[in-house]
Amino acid sequence: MDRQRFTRRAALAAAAGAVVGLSGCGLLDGEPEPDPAQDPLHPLLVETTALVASYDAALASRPSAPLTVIRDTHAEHARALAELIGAPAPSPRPPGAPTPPPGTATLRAAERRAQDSAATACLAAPASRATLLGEIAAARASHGGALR
Amino acid sequence: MTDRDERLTAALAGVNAAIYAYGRLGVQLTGSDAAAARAAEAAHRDQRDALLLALASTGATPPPVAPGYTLPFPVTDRASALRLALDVEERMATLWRAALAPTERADRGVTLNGLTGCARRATGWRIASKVTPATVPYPGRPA
Repeated sequence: MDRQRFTRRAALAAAAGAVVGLSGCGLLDGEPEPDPAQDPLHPLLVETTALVASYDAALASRPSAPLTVIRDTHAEHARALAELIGAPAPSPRPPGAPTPPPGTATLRAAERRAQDSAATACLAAPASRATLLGEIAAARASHGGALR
Repeated sequence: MTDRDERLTAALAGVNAAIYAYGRLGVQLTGSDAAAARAAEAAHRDQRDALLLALASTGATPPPVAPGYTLPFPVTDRASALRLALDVEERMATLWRAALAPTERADRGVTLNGLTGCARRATGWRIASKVTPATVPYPGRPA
């Protein structure tokens, strides 16, 4: 009797241990994958993708090497942000009506707003995300000077 | 020493070197270049004050200021002065960037301001010395 109880308890404990072990591995914890659209950085990804589209529109009307470099920087940031939050890689040219080409003043204002977004996100972020967000904010801060 | 104290102390040592470098290179510049160098030096001095406050708030001991620094190359004319200014901003950016993750709240704000200022000034120096591209995708990230 005693032995039987002991065995049963041991079996339960072993089973519990196995479940804890498995959930620790993320195999049986039943948690759904986090939804990238709910990630606090999702709006920043959307804004970054929109910046790429703005530069594409500007470049279509006046090709320029510095503009291309900045456009590619935003595209690279969009890729890195998508990877960080587990979202699909943004399409280089989102479908939709072509936007009118923005002028330099418009691009500069968009960079300032985007810099603020990235800085705010950086200050609110956990350590694991702070470096990328700080780099993005700093890159955007540097774009105004290169927009001539 | 915590990671935070270590990174901010490294940034402080870098800022002291940056202030010294601007003192040496500024005399080789004129006009808008000289004005930009003065503004850059003032920005680094502000950053130094912010770092001293941040380190004092947790009782960390700031490193002593070195009496002099060895410049990475001789600064004898406008071209070498511009090259050193860009070098200073790029090196300083790596120190600030490394302090982002281990800092929080106000400390991270100081750090982000530091990185952002370095990135902006580095682009200005690249344009002044006709280095292209004038911007980099990840300021402060080691190559």
